[in-house]
Amino acid sequence: MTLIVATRRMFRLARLDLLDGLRSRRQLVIRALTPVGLLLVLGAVLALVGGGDERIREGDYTVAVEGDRNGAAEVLGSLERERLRFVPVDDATRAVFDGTDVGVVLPDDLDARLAQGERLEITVVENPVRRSSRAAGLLVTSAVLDLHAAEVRSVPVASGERRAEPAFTYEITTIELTFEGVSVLVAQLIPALLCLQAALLTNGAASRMAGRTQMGLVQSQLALPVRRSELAGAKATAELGVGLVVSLPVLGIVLLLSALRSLDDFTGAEMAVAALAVLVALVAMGVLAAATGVVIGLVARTHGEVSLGTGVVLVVAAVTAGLVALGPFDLPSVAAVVPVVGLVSSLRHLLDGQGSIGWVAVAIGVTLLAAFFMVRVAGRSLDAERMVTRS
Amino acid sequence: MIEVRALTKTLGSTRVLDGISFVAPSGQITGLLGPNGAGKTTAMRVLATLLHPDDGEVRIDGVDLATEPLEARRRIGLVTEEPGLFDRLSVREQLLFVAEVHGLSRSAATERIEQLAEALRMTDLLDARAGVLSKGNRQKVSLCRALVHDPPVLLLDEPTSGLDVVAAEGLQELLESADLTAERTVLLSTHRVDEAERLCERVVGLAAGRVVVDASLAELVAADGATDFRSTFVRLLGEATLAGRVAEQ
Repeated sequence: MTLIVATRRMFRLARLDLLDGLRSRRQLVIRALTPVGLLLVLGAVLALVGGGDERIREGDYTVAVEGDRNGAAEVLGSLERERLRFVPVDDATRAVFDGTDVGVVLPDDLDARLAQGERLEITVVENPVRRSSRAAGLLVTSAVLDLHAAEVRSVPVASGERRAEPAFTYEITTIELTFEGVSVLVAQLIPALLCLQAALLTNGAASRMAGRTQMGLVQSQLALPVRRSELAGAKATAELGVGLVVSLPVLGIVLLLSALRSLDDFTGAEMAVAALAVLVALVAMGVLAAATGVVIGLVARTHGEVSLGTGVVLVVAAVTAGLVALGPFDLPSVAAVVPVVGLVSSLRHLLDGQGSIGWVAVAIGVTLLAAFFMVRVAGRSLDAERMVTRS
Repeated sequence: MIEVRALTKTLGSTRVLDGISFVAPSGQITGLLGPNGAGKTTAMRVLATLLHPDDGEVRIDGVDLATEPLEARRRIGLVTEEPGLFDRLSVREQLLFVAEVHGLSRSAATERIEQLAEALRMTDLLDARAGVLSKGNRQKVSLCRALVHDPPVLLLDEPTSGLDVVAAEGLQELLESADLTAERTVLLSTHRVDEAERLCERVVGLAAGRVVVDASLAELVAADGATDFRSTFVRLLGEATLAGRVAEQ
């Protein structure tokens, strides 16, 4: 009962800050559009970092082979001489997503049909964002070309006649253009967007809190008959409210992407669970981000310190989004016990069809716990003495 | 009534309040006077529960600040130099918020705000955004906010500081009004002797963190044998401040 009363009081206290935040339309628009812009910039940076060519390295490249491997022993044997190590898989596209350098999809009975002169097609699957994948793809296609050239040369041609048509062709498929590729990309984009959105929430909350402290607004509220922790909770709640409103475009994109993801192999129930997990994760990250922003805004002595604090949060969020959500760091499930990072990772796994809702729940719980701790810190930071001595 | 006994407060390495004691009786305005750096604002912040005292005892309307800070805050109305208003919200919204936090029902709060706005001659300001108000009007809103829950104790920390002559005059006129202040204990912190002379019946003079004067205006002038309060007070504070500086050195 006491908790309910305290919560009601906190929401009542949050009303004024919330209204004030929602009436700044220009700030709302900027804050709503920034994460989308940031993600585009981050994507461009990642593409640049992953761009460029890689020299063919000394070691072997791993090739995920999907299809009839036994029926293609001769062709694969020829290709193996080019330092390509073949690994049988059920799904070459998936394997390339999971880190295998390159994938090959073979037709059935390749050797036999090739010997009969049948025209066949080999699909090479590569990830254009990874240099090693592009290099391996190049190696595979050049080896295939060599093989092709040898086949063509082996056919005698009478004087004046044209050489035969190629015995088989190859096609390079980049994973982004596959349906599964889009699905996996969506699974990466959603947590990345949430992560960036949370960082921006921290930024907005910290700036506003610092401004209000400077204007004497916080001090006037400290003279009200409310507990510091309630006031701090109210500030964080209001910032969360504003944060959720400015998250609407991101939420829209996330729902759109989720719908796209559901077209793949998710059942209706799985999709509902995933959507719910995304929403709760958004709120959990938002609570932590808002509380962190309140702490930074109250503790920082100058606007420079606010910028420094929020800058650090933004960098951490960008690194988390870039490496854990979008990038190559595939953290183990147990990483769910690390606030935010674990949530990003476990959410990615869930949306990817490889994680479990249990780990996401753990990650949400841990993140909320961290948020609770941060609210307590915010309550202590609301010490008027600290503000007075600071000013 | 405000009772302060042996109040001590150190900020950083500076002892800002050095065992001050005084009583501000109810039903009158007591002035807390002193030059800049005398410790007036620190004393007001301790009384408003914004700062914790290092030592000593403070009672607001009989409530001990150290043991019941929330209860003490319920009995205090605070006006500071910086009004601390949300610029994008209307005056009415902000007053309603404070009234409700103090436990007034919506209807009671609305009625109270209308009454106060009329008394403070600011009815036309109620639906304006605080951001568009002049500093004088913002201070009026701050005073209205401090009175909205009808507190027995009113703390005014340099309320006319930074106001132009007309705005300061308007605010002083309001503070003179018996409707607003007569039934309360009012402690007015100011460095303006003319303001204290006009509004206060009693003054507590601070210099270098110590109480150097604690008397009614009439008593003070009579004891000093001077012709007016201003010259008596300036002389006493000047001597005390100088003595304090010498002691520090």
